[in-house]
Amino acid sequence: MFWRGESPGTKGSTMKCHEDKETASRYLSDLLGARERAEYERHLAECPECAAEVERYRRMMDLLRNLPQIKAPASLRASVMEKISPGTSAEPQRVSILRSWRFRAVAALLVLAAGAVVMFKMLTPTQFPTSASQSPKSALNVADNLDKAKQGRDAGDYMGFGYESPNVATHMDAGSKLLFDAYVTSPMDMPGGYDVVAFTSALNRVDNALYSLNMTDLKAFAAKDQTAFVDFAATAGMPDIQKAQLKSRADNVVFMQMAQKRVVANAFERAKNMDEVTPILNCYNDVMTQQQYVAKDVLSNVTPSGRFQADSALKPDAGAAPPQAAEKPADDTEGKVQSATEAQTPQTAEAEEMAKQEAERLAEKTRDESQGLEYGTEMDREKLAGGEAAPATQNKALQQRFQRSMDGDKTEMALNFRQSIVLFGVTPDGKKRALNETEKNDIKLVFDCLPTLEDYQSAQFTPGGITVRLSESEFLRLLKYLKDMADVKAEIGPIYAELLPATSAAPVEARNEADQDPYAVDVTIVFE
Amino acid sequence: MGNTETEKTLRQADEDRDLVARALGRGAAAREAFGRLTLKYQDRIYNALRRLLGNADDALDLAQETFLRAFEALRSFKGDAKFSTWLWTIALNLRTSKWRSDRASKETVSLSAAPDDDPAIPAPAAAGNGNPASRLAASELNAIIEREIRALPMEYRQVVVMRDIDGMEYEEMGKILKIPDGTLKSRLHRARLELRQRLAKHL
Repeated sequence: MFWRGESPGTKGSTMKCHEDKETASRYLSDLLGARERAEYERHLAECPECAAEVERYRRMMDLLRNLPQIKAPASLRASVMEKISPGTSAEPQRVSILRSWRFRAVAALLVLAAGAVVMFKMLTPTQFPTSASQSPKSALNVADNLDKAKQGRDAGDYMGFGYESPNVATHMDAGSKLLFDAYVTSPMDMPGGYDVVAFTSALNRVDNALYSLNMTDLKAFAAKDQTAFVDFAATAGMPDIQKAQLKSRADNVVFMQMAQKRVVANAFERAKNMDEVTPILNCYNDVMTQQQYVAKDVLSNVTPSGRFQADSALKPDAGAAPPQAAEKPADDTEGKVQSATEAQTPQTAEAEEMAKQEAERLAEKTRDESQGLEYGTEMDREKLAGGEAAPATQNKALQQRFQRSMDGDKTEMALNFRQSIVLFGVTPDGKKRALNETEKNDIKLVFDCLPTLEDYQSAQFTPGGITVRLSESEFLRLLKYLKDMADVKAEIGPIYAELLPATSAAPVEARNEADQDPYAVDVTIVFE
Repeated sequence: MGNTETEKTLRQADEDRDLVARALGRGAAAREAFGRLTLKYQDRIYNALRRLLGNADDALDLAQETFLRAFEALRSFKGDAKFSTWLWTIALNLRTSKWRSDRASKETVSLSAAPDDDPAIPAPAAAGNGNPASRLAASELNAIIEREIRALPMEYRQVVVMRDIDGMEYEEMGKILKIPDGTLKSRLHRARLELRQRLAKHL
């Protein structure tokens, strides 16, 4: 039995075999085994019809191989060259930066952000409108915000990847609006937002990029707080609100810090000498301190009594200026979170358990983050503890670090970032459920969308999940695709994603030298 | 692959690695190095996209974006794959996401109603011309083939463009499409079978 056309008892006969076009194609597509192949070749020698069919295939393949190549229009390379380096001389560069849609996009974003902050300032907590339609739980589920997230994702695509194509320019304003809306609603769905701001570092304004990132985050957070406060007004479900606030903050910080470190690392790469490095480091110190300050402020906004402290509202202006010394003495944030949880009367035992876990997780995350900061950690902690900062010492250490990186020791700059993503489904009655096989396979398919092959190849698939080392932008993109997937698969029930701190993620073994990417993120995707 | 072929491939890879390393540097030299990479691969990428998308304007846009993305992500290019493989991967991923966003509007192009918006592909001979291939002018036959390629489902179109037109190795295709060898070959077989039926009277 070697090819489909042959019927039993006709061995050696050519009857009907020549109607079998499939085997000829299988033969030419190297799909026949060695034995089949030999038999078919013997057959070809004695069957003119089959031989002619193979010839027709060969002719077709010849024609295909010789189809004329059209020269790519000269505009292709010209436009690539123009965009990869906005001018080689100083003068045109300034013009091109101002014209660049990225610049305008970021500017638009900041203008929008500023608008929201003004709004935020005008509304005192007691004036927040109550809204029955907004459940406090809504902020907890990414999937609840999918519409917004999708718009934001599209906007991020327009803005992050659209360049100056004429089609994109027309969408830019709308895009930035959508981006901001989505960003405010659900920053976790909006890695593109950070991407956009991180691009500003390509404009050689590291300080602006760092501050922009910080301000974007602070303002998004401030605006996001409104939602949480509305929720707060609608219910007294303190643990949920607390969860929503802290979670949003934690999610934000992850992305923002990644983007900021990226900016600093980029700047380090560009810097020619120590003089260029010092201002970057100072700036970075500032924003890191602000983050610590804000993070602490967030935690203290939610008091054990369950009442929002109006006077400790986030200072949205903090992003523009170096921070004040912390107003409150540093305390054990973990204990505070837990006591806040315990002080409440939860609606259900399950909610209580969830809230506890969440609080513990976030407290741990906060600890991890403060320990995980590559730069400025010591000083930040001292400042937060009410002690005097020691920027000189700090900068010296950082300068040494930079010197080492200039000397070729790139590992000093490594982000060493690890991230777990837990994926799970939700039953109609709102309980977590394990993913089914179809869903797991769909998620594996997500890897088809990752931009580079090499990283895909380093992925290890296990029944329980996937571990992979990704570059930072790939990681952000992966999150986007996971959202995409959840969206596409709505009919079989959404897939929920939860970001966890690094502790449980095992480092992916580097396969080669190239894998020592300072921006690499080791991702463990867990199927729950 | 003959010895000289192998040597040529290795030389190419060396040259690409060198250009990539220089493109990761600073200033005019980096820009020039990337310019050379673009020049080297732009025809291949552009032609492939033109055939996959069936539209010269979209192909130009996407080819541009492919090179821009490549430039941005150059750092993540690991030298152990061919640069061309990497470019193809980016191009196909971009095509996929473009397809996703276009999906809502329209995906399949019917043969008869296909808007012929690619000026690079000449119109086929007038109807009623049932001549065998030998009597068709080469350009007419090529036009028919281009149209039939565009009428193939995307899955088939991809492998035909990669293997039969671009002349890519199975191994490289497997890396780009992320499918096992067997799947790849059987997809290619199905694609050729279908194209063969479509071109029946011209072969």
